[in-house]
Amino acid sequence: MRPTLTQLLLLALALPLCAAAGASAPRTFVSTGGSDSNTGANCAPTAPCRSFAAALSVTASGGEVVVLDSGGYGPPGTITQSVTITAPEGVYAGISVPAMSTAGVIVDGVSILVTLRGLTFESQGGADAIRINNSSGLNNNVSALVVERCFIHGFPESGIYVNSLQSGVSVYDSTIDATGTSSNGIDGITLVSGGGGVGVYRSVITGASRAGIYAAVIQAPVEVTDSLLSGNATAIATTDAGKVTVSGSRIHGPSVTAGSGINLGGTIATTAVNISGTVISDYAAGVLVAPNATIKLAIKGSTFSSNGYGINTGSGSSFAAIDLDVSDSVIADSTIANVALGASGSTLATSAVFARSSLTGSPIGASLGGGSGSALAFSGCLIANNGTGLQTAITFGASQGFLSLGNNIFVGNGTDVSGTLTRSMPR
Amino acid sequence: MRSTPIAWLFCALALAFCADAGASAARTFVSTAGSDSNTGTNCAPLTPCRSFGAALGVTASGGEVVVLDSGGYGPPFTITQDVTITAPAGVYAAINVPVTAQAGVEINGTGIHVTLRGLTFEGAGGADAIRFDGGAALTVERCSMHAFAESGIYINSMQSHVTVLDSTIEVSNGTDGISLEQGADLTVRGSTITGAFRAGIYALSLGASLRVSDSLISGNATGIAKLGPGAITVSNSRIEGSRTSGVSATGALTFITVTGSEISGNGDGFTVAPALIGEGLLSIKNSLLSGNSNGINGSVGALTSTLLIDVSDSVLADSNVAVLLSAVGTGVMHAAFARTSLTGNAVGASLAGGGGTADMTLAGCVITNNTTGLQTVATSGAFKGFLTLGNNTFVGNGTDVNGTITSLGPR
Repeated sequence: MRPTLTQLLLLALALPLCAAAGASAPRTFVSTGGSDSNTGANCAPTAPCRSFAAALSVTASGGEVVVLDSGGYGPPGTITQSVTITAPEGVYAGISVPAMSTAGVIVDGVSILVTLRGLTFESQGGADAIRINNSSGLNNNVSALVVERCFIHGFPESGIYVNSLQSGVSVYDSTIDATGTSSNGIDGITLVSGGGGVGVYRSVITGASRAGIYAAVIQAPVEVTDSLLSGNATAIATTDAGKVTVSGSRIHGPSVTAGSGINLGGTIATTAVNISGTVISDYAAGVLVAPNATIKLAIKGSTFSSNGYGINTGSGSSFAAIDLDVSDSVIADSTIANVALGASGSTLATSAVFARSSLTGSPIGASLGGGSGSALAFSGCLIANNGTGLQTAITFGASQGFLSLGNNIFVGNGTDVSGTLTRSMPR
Repeated sequence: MRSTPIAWLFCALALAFCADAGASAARTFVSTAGSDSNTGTNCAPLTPCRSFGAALGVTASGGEVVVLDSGGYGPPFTITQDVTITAPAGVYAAINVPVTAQAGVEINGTGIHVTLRGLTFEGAGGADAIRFDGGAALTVERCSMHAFAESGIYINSMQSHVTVLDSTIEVSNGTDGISLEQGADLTVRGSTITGAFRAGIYALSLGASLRVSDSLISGNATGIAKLGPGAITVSNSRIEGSRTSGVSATGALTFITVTGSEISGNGDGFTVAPALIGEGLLSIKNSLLSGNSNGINGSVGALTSTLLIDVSDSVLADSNVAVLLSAVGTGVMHAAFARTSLTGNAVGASLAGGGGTADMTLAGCVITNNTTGLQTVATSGAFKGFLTLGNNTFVGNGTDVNGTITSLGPR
């Protein structure tokens, strides 16, 4: 059919709008002075939109939504394509999440990358600030979320909730504050599914009633660098995470009678845990290894102070295995014991080495419970000013007890060693 | 009073505003171009208010006040609800605190949680920048406080949690940088506290836990003063130029842990004197104490009190006395030094006893270039003096050991 002249004329008049609506733009803009009717002009810089949702609808895949001036821009809702939302430094962009929304941003595409930069999320009843879902159901959907310079505050469930098989989240220079008006949120970051794991860099997570980072996913790595995790019931809780790395961070609890700085659980995967340059204080346990977990735990250059236990693997049961090496660290002023390895009555096997580290100022410097082949070796350590320096509990099987590799200093303890300390030949 | 039909009509026309006016808004805005008469439109982004106080009045509980452009947003005001006040990076927002005001921001509400971000407080004669008299938690981030008569932050809310991040508190000879009268814990990170005539951090609150990391506490009479029981954890920080003491702990049960830090140019680096029948524990690792009059000044008093010290992998240099320890009466003092250098001091370590139990054990230490390496003073009672576990190096001292040093043999 040939178009009529009138039709052609209409088309010519509406051409810019039509072209825009069809194609969308790689970069769109929002402003408090904007209008969502400007989607027709693709939310251009001089014709910006008013809301993230409108701007996103005309932003090309892989494109960017830019905030021009400070204001609230509404929940973007579900994002199904790769996109970046940026509020530059100096511009405040707020997203209030109402009660009828599960989340302010729901990342739910197939293998997409979503970057959120400079946004402030406030809960007005909404459960989560940001979610990653996988409604495609695809097993190979690897989506990634990057959160940068964001403030996330007051969400009753999670700041970031990941429920997508292979996906993961990285958080930079952000604050997740779970403190709520009536009660605190459950987690700062929750992974119930998400093999991509979670990385937190130069960020603050605080006020969670369950965990600052809760990762209950097999083989989902957790990395925390140069961050402050403060006032969470437990700072980091993992189950079969496979790999946990904590470096240059400060982890402080609300109480020395509850919670853990790092709670390592699981029954399936061996988890390699590296802690370096980190301070953990004011928890019932600085590091707690849950029953039945298989853990390789390395700690270097770190400080555990004023916890109930500095390191506690004592809750173990039948099938746990702990490899522990601690070097150049201080574990001090624990109210119960600086180090407690292996529960009495268990067959938990522990192999632990402490080098150039201080265990001081606690009722017990280190206690070693039962377990076939369990051994705790010291080299160049300072075990000072404890009620009992080293103490072996009831041992089962062929526990080797305490070994000294030399250059240890026992001083100022009520009792230096309760049990046996075997001197190994120096090598 | 009954609403007139005209009022209803007006309301219907202005529905959006009326609905808001009753309830207040989750997010309000201030601007130097704004007006406080815009509270009627809830200080919206296009009709912002001029002052924080006005914006707060129409901000919902749990809401946020946002600064749109640089300027002053005083006068001082009171917060009684959950709220966040934010000046984004790049926007300057100041509150002047005149002599008539107790504080720039007074915070007092049951169980509330308040965050202040990006604000500058100028003390124009006022007592405090921020006063926290009631509430559950306070976070101060990217704030700057200058010239206050009393405190930068005054905390007097029982069991509260206070966090100070990336902030500068320069009180210009005010009493304290942060004064913790009542509170459960105080976390300071990435911040600078300077110029207090009493203390950078003054903690009276019993049982309070102080955590200081990545910070500079400089030029205060005392850097950190803790009077009651509780823990002090210092990491990767510098405490310097304190006329009296870098860290002073005189409570009944005090735990001090210091790692990766520099404590320099103070009267005492550490002054630890547990209260009567009290206990003090001081752990230092990977740290530098230099140019203090006394690096560590520890004393236990006439009635039973205990001081336990352990120092490893550290350097104590260029002091009058690097380690000055004294146990009198029925006091108990145990000090252990491992792989630590006492170097370039008039006296490396001085151990005095007058009836108390006192010993200082050295292993793998370097005691070098002091006028006197180790010295004991006026001993009696269960005084054991210096003990060595071996591998110590004495060299270049005027006198290596003035007194007794007993070898325990390696273990």
